[in-house]
Formats: sequence, C-alpha cells, structure tokens
Amino acid sequence: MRFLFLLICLIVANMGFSQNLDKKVSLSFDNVTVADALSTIEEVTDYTFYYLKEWLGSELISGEYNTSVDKILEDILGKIEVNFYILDSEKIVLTKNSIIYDSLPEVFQKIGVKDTLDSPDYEILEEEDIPILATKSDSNNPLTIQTYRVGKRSRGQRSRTASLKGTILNRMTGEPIPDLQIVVRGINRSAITDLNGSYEIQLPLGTHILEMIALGIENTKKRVVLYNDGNLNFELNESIERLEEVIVEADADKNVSTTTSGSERIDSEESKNIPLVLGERDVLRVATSLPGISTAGEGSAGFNVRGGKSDQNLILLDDAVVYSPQHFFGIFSALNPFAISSLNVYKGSFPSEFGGRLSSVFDIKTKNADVEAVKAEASIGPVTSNAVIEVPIVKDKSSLLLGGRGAYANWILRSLDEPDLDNSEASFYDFLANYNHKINSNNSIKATGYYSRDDFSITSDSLFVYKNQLVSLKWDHAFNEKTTSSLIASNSQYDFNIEFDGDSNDDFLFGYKVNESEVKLKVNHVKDSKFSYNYGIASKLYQIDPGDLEPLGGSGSIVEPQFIDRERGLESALFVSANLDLTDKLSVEAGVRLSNFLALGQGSQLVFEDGQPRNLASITDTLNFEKNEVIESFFNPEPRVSARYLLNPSLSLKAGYGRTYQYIHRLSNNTTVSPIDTWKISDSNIEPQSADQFTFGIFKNIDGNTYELSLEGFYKRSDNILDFKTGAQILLNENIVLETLQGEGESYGVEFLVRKNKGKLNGWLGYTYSRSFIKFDSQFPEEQINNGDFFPSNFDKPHDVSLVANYKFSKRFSLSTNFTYQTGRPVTVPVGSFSFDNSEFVVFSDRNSFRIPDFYRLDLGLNIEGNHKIKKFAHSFWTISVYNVLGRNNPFSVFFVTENGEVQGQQASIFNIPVPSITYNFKF
Amino acid sequence: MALNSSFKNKITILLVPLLGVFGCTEPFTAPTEDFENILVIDALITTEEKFQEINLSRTFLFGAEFEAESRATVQITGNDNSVYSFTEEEPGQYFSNTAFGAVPGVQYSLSVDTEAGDSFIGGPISVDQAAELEDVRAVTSTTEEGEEGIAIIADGFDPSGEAAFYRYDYVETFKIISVANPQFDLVVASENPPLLERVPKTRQENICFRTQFSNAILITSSENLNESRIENFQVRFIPKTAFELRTRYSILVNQYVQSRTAQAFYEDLRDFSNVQTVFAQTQPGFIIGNIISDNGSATRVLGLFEVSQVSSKRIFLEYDDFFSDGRIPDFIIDCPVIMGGSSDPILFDFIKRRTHKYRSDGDPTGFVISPIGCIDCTIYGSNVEPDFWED
Repeated sequence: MRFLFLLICLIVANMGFSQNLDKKVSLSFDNVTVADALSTIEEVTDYTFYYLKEWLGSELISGEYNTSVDKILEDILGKIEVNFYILDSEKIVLTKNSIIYDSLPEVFQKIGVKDTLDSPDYEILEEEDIPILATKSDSNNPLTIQTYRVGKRSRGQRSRTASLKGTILNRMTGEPIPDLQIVVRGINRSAITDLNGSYEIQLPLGTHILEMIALGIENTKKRVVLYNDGNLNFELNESIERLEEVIVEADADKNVSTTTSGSERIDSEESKNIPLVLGERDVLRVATSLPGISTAGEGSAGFNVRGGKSDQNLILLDDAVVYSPQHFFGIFSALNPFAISSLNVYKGSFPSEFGGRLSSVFDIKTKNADVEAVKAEASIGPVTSNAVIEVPIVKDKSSLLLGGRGAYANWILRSLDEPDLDNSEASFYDFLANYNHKINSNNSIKATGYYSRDDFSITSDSLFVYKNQLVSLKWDHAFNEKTTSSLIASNSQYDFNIEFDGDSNDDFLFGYKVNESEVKLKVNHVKDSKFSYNYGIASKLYQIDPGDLEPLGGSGSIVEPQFIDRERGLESALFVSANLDLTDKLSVEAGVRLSNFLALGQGSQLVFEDGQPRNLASITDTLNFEKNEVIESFFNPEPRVSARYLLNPSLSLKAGYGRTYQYIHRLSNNTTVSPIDTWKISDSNIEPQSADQFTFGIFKNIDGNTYELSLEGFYKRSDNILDFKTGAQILLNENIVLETLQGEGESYGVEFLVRKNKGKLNGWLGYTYSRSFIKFDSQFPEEQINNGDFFPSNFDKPHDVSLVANYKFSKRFSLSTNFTYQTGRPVTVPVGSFSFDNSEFVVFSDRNSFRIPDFYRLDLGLNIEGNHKIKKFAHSFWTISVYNVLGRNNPFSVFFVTENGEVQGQQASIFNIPVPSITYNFKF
Repeated sequence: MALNSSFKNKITILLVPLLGVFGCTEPFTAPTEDFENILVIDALITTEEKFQEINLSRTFLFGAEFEAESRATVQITGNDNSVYSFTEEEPGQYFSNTAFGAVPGVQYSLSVDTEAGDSFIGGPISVDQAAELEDVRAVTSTTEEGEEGIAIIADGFDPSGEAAFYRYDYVETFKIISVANPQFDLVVASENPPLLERVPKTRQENICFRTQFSNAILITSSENLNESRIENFQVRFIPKTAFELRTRYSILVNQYVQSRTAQAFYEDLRDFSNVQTVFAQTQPGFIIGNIISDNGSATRVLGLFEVSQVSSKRIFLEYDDFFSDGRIPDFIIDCPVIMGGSSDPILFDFIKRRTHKYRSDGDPTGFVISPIGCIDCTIYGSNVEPDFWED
C-alpha cells in the first residue's frame, strides 16, 4: 500500500519535472562566461543553480538556443567537466566531475535491474552459461549484472575485435538517451550516445562490463560477451527517485573519540518525551537529570554544576548571556521549547572560547527557520501555551522564526482555596525572534532577539517585575574550506522592579539592572584531520545599576530618591586552542584563555585598615575614581588541557584540567536563587572567583553507539567564592563590601552514565556520588562561618540517581518515565530556643548541620502522536503526564516560625501530590 | 550607607505569602542533638523614668521550659559617673534598684557577670535621636485576606530628621464583663455526703481588665525617606470578631528610636522566624548582637544592649465607634448552663474541681452553674481598674 502511494508520488513528481523540462526556452549567448549564462537561465526560468563559481572557469561561450533547459545545459556544460542534476522543478545542482546519484548503490538496494529483451542479437545467459572465455571480472555483485551474448562467431573469423552498436532508450518515456557514456573498464574504451541514443564501440572479443552513465539515468552495468559485430539495445530506467533518508551518524563514536569530556548535548526535540511538571517541555530541566547537574531544590531556579554555586554557570542563548532563564521562580523554563534546537552543557573541559564563569557553560542555540515553507508549531498546556512560526523570507536563503509563549497562571492562584491569594496575580511571557540569512556559501548571518518578562503581585499594593532581554548578531564567514570565522556582537540585560503602591508615604519603585555588551571574534582553522586550532578575542562591557529608588505615585510619598553609582567593568580575553592527534590513539587539546578585567570608574572604593576586620570602624579612606579610570585591573591566564587515549575504537580514557575565572558575582543571602538577586562585578575589595578542575574518565561504546557508558571523576577547588555575613542586607546597600565574605570551595565526585540511544527502549541512567564543601576562614570570628572549617554547601547532595526512559510501543504511542533520587540537601537548623521581648525565637548556630529528608520522585508520561498521514493539515502530539506519581512529599526546606510568640518548626514542599496534566502540541 | 529597613521590610513581607501558591507545609520537629546552651541578654534602657528592666535567660530545648539566668550581677554605668545596680526580682528578671531614665548624650555601658564566672559587656552607647509618637489612632481596615477589623495606626516624626530606625510595641488592656453577675458562690459544704452550699460572694468578679503584650517584631525605618516621618504604621490589627472588642479596649503604643545595630538585630530575628518560601529562603545564622564576652573567652552570648528614646500614647475605643451593625463579638468562651440540686453529684464535681461557678438559683429549686470563665473574670485579668483607665 505504501509502495503504491510512493509510486504515485513519484509519477506525480516526474510529471512535474517533465512539464518544466519540456518547456522550451529561447536564449542566446554571445561570448559570455558559463556563470553568466546560468544566471540568464535563472532569470528566464524558475530554476536556481547551486554550484561553486570556480568550477565554471572563465571560458567564454556563445550560442543560440530554443530548446529545453536540460538541453542547453548539456551543451554549455558539456565541455567543462561539470555535470548537472535537476533536483526538482526549481533547483538544479551542478557537480564537478562527479554525478549525483539519485539512488543508493546496489549494495544498499540489493535488487537487480532487469532490462527488457527485445533484441534478436543476444540472449541472456545464466551465470553458469558463461563460456570459458568469459571471465568473472570486476563488479561488486556479479549476480546483479545481466549478461548478454552478442554476435555470431563465424568460422575463419580473423579480427580479434568487433563493433558493438545499439540504441539506448529511456524506458519511461521511450525516448532515446543522448550523451550517455558507455565505459568499458579495464581497457579504457568509451563511447557516447548521440542525439538518437545510438552508440558504436569497438571492443576486443570476449567479456566486458559496460557501464552506462548519464545524468538522470540509473547507473547501470551490463556484461557483454562479444563474439562478433552485433547490436545491443537497452532500455534504461530514469533515476527520478530521490534518495530516501539515510541517517549518517558522523559522531556515532563521539562519546569515546572526542578529546574533551564533561560535555553533554540535549536535543530539544528529543526532550519532548520526558514527562515534566504541568506538561512543560524544558531542555534545562532535562539537563538536571544528567550527572553532575542539579538544582538546590524542586522547582528552584538556578543550577549547581559539579558542586559549584548557581552564579557560576554561563547560560548563553545564541551567544548572548541569559541571566535568568526561568520563569516563576524556577518552575517554568523561560525558553520556548519549539524555538530551541539544542543545548550543549560543558561541565568541565571548557573550550577556551568560553570564560567568565567557573562551573559550566550552557550553550543554547535557537533553531533556524525553514527557508522553504512556512511552518508552525504550537502547544496548549494547562498553564502555558507556546507557539513558533517559521517564515521563509527569501526562498532558500533567509528566514524568520518567531516564537511566543504566555502563561495563564492566574486561574491556578484563584482555584487554590486560599484567601491569601485572592489579590495575587502571576503572569509571564517570552518572545523570541531570529532571522538567518545565507548570503552565499561563504557568508551567513543570524540575528536573534529575546525578551522574557515575569509579573507577579502577591498583595494588591505590590508588583514585582523581572525581565531578560537580549540581542545577538552573528556573522559566519569562511575564508576557504579550512578556515572559518565567526564574529558575534551581543547585548543582554536583566532587570527587575519592585513597585509598592499602598497609598502611604513610603510608596516606592525600586529598580536594578545589569547590562552587558560583548564583541567576539573566533577563527577556526582545520589544518588536516590530525590538527586543528582556533583562536579569537572577546571583550565585554558590563554596566550595572545596582539600585535606584524613587517615590511612587501622587499619594504624597516622601521616599527620598536614591541612586547607587553605576558600576562598569570591561572583561576581555584572548583565547587560543589547538587539537592535535599525536598518534592514532592519543589526542590532545590544549588551550589558554588570557583574561583581563578592568573595574572602571566612575565610582568610589573603601579602603580598610590592614589586619582589621572589615567594618565601618576599619574604613581608613574612600577613593574616588573618574569616569573610565581604572579602579582595579586583574589579569589571569586560564590554561585548559585535555587528552584522550583510545584503548580500542570503542574504549577510551580521558583526562583534563582547566582553570576558570569569574569577575561577576551574584549577591544573595538566600539559600536558593531568587529573581531579586543582584549581580556585582569585582573591584578592589571583591576578588574574582577562580576554580581549578581536574577530571579523569573512561568512556565506552557498545554496539556502535547503541549504548554509551561513561565513568568520570572530578576534583574541583575554587577560591574567593562569595558569601555573606549573617543577615546581610543586599539591595540598595552601597557598601555591600562590609557584608561580604570570600572563601574556598572544594568539590569532588564520580559520575556514571549509561545511555541507550536506539531501539524501542531508550534513555539514560545516571548516578553521581559527589560532595561539595565551602570554607570561610579569617582571623576574625565575625568573618568566619562555622569556625572557619569546611562545611557542606547548600547543594551538597552526595547521592544522585536519575533515570530517564522512553519506551515506544509503536510509532504513535510511547511511555516515558523520569525517576530521581537525591540525598536531602543540607539546611541550617536551630540549636535551641530563646525568649526575647515576650516572644520565643530559635537560635541558629553552625550552618548546614542537618539534612532534610531524601528526595525522590517518579514522573510518568504517555505520548500520543497523531496519525502519520502526510497530507494531513497538522501533525499533532498529545502528552498526558503525571508528575510525582508516588505523591511523595519532598520537603524543600525547613524553617521555624514565631507566631503569637511561639516557635513552630515547619517543613515545606511544593508538589506533594501527583500532578496530572495534558498538553496538546501540533505542527504544520 | 544604606541599610534601608522599611524598604527591605516590605520586600520580605511581600514575598512571604507566595508559599501558599504551590507549597504546603507540615510540622517539623527540630533535631535536638546539637543543642547549645547560650546566655541571652535583653537589655533595653529607655529615657522613661522608671525601674529599668534587664532580662537574662538561657537558650532551651524546643518545647522545654523557659530557663532563667539567675544570680547574676548586672550593672549599668554612665560616663556621667552614674552607676545603676540591678537586682533579680523574678527569676531572670533584673530591675534597677533606683528609678532612672537614660539621659540623652550620656554614654552607658552594661556589664553582666554570671554565677558561673563569665563576664559580658555591652556599649558604651547613648541616646542620640528623639522622635515623637505624633499620633496613634484606630481605623477600620480590611486585610488582604478580606478580614474586617480595626487597625491601630501610629505616626512618628523627628523634626531634626535624625531618627531613622523605629521600633514599636504595645500593651493592650481591655475590659471583660462576665456574662452574669451573681451575688453568691457555691462552696462544698460536705464531701460525704456531697453537699453544696450557697454563700455570698466575697469579691468582685464581674468586671476585669486583661492586659496583653505585643509579641511581634514591629520595626520600620525612615532611612529612605526625605524626612524622618513614619506614617500609618500598623501596630496591631484586631479582627472584628475578636473578644478584645467586646466591651472597651485600650492600647498603649510605645515608639522607640533605636540604633542601626538594634534594627539589624531585630530584622535578623524577624527574618529567621518568618515563613521561608522556596522563593525566599533566607540563610539563617547566629545573630551576634552587640554584647561580647569580656574575659576574652569564646563563650557565646546572644544579646542586645540598647538605650532608646521612648515616646508613648494611649487610646481607647469600643466596637460601636467603628461598626454600626451591633454584632459585638461573642464572649471569650461558650457559657452553657447546668442545673441540679445541692447534692447533685455532677454539680458537686464541677464545683469541687472549680471548673464551674454559681450562676443563679434553679427554678423552682436547686442551682444553675456555668463554666468558671463565664462568671469569674479574674481568670482572665485583674479585677482592679488600672490607673489609666477611662470609661
């Protein structure tokens, strides 16, 4: 049935081509280059040519034509060893020397070609019948070659050669095939059919393999046993059939063979089967199911990679930084899943082109819109809806992608039977647009813009708004086949506002903003398959408005306007990296990033007395700096080395070392990430953070890349990580430096991952054992935490198991599951109660001395694809999922509330019941 | 320098209710193995001329009893050569031997020597700013949750513009009138056989005054404002249905102008004892305060020594001043009646166990009793009218 359908398609397609082909074109060329001639044809027909100019040479041609395009092409391309292939009714591909084959070689097809026999001069021989003088010569598979016996041997035949003649016709149309090349291997003879499809070739007597090659015609081999002069006519098939999909797995052995380790790639499309809360598809959440990447708690924003703080991740969307990639405090992703093509996460072995964060790089790329046809994809879920539309602008050259996404969370707030929330509102949305334009084969540009915004209001008089916005512009240029470059300019901004309008005299509007602009040039050079290198330069200007307070409204607010000086910093880097295969087994990638950070004026810096704790009393001076004056300069080399040794083609050992520096820090005295956390750049009182990471791993592929196994260990030491004194005030604090502490971090772990990439059951199982400790020591007790000893960080979760599995029952139904188990995270609990001012309070002492109960959660999802009828308007996809099937009450925090003078311990959880959801996706 | 309290207060308060959005909470029992026994010093000296009070206690295990720190030597010295010694009158409660008020400009120091031999010191600090509690008023109000009631609002102002940190507390006193005012009591005349006897009442149990202290941290700031003016600061919200409003209510609001240190101390106390949401989980830690160990030992102390200017105002109010619906709040408890004869075993048992009291004579014989809380208001407060009371 399917075959019949295909056949109909083929015929229809063929008719389409023929109609176009049959169209006669009147043209005349007078001493023009072939390229010009092709442009003229493009003008008068619907065809577009695809070729490299240098193939066409500078030879001038002339001629008058009133015929079909293919005929003209045959004529003008005939002399310059360029072939053409008519791809469809609008595209013609030129090839140098080679010919485009429209069918797979016979080894793939394993079906023979049968030609009609209508010549009296020959007969088909069975293989066994081949006479003695016929020797089995070449050919991949002699059985598929038909053998013809031509000519009648006559007695007294002298000549050792004979003439073979015939006509070659197109079986489909019955027309003669001109310009068909008949090559006889081994003796270097060839002939070309004339306009009538006739050929003649002189051959020695005996067995020959005739190979018939022509554009648009199936490449065919025939065995001829030549006895004497004779005729041999063929009917050959047109090769109108476009190649069926062939999956070329170029990187099938990537797991084992790449030099670097600690990176993972997540394909947005593949992530659609993973069940998630409220039916939201989210590549970032998928990332957290991989070893070494976790979040501080369920539904909390920010990621912790290999024991690093959440501000140590460089999250890039088309090369521009996204400060807050999540909506609604981390519960929803702020990235439109339909607009994302992939996410590459580097947990270690960072390429030297990336810098400025200690722990990881999340390199997210948006999809390029289709350049041929308008496409759209959308989903409707219980809380959010997403849509993406792809619009070609200049066909085959440029296209526009527009994505939008909005939430209607209000009904959830309303439906919760909680009078507290009657005045609450929460909404968020994000937009993404990109435009890509392929100028020519050597140049392309891509522009991306992104905007996300969250509004929430808990009380009727307050409003919180936070937004990300970014633009990036990228120009990819190829100097030649071996040298390519990218020039990227980007700007991104994160800001939040807090508005309080309670008709009182202290109504205010508070604003915070971080803005960064970067220019980056990167050049790649591939010397040969054994050696490649890249280098580049990047420079980024930070502008931070740390706080801006204004009175609000006409209600007589007497809030004093306040503006904390803008902070400016310039982070620049030179980077170079080379990948060299020293032997077949040993490959090394070595690079260095030279980073420089300038804290720039204008601004003022406090100077403290040496040997004294930093407080108001130890300030000895305040230095003022002019605009653009350098407050402090840091210069740091960041070496990065990794090596791979192949024990055998499917087993390798890898080791790596990398150093990273970070000049911008998130200020937070919360245990988890909050949207109103601010960022601050290094200056003379806040040192840059740094980290050294050592990794060692063993990587194994089984059965191609059906199974990928890896076991990787890491040890990371970091310095100058930032923390705060108890109860530090961060917002609107001009002298935040009085509250900061800088200390050391140490983390280590072993990550095990097994992935099954193919088959009905696929997915992965990851297990991580890791520890993460921090230490804040000082000679002054007020600058110590936990007496200056190492203590577990907020995200130290030694055991972490993730299972993501997807089972395909059929093309339409699949069941997916997601299981997570983690050791409970450390929390600070009181060491006793005390009484103060008629109330009871708790007293806290050492940080993170207790752990909340272990976390585990099972999610299930059933994915139903709509039927696969091609003609259908839209393709649909249903996801029915249940989050937290076991209804496990996973506490994310414990806290102690004083109410009516009494202390109560409480533990809070987010989703302690199974949360079902249903999402409808469709695309066309 | 900007530790902007009112601004920060708002943000903290605004974030808190978010927990309800998705969250759910359950009781959690704190671990007890890491218990630390720490001295707690609460030393607030005000400008008000009175017997100043300093409280010393120890941290205690959750659910355990308050533990006083007794037999300590407590003293305040001023740089005007004044010395005030304190004497423990109740366990852990130390009062100055003489009445005094802090004098602006004088530097005061605190010293505490415990029975165990540890010494702690605080200060020297002084009262530098003064602000007037300009107005305290009651207004009808509706909470975000939709609950109607009366809000007690305070306005403060420092014309010099120097006061930045304000703390409030209050003492509320309200009149309680028992549901019945019998002239008799029932007493046990004989255990065996059980027999109750009606006797004349010997004291007034009909009208009492109950006093309650604030137990919330009420702080605000004018730091971000262009004048030192606090307007419409809500000190107390009394729901319309609260029994405090049943008869007559009075509230004394005290306004303290405090130091930055004290402000930070109270903010930490409040932040660490607030609801923590997934969205705002403040990292708690040891609150250092401003009292340190004198003999260089690492002995921890949790304490605040503060000398504050205080300004107070009292107002009176009644339900009908604000609501015309006449739905005055119910009495504190339900007051069912039980009848029986003088030998009724049930009646006898209630009277003997002092859970109930005589309400009236039965009809035609016997007695009517009601729960003691309905008859004897002294279980809620004092039957002596306070000096300040105005009817």
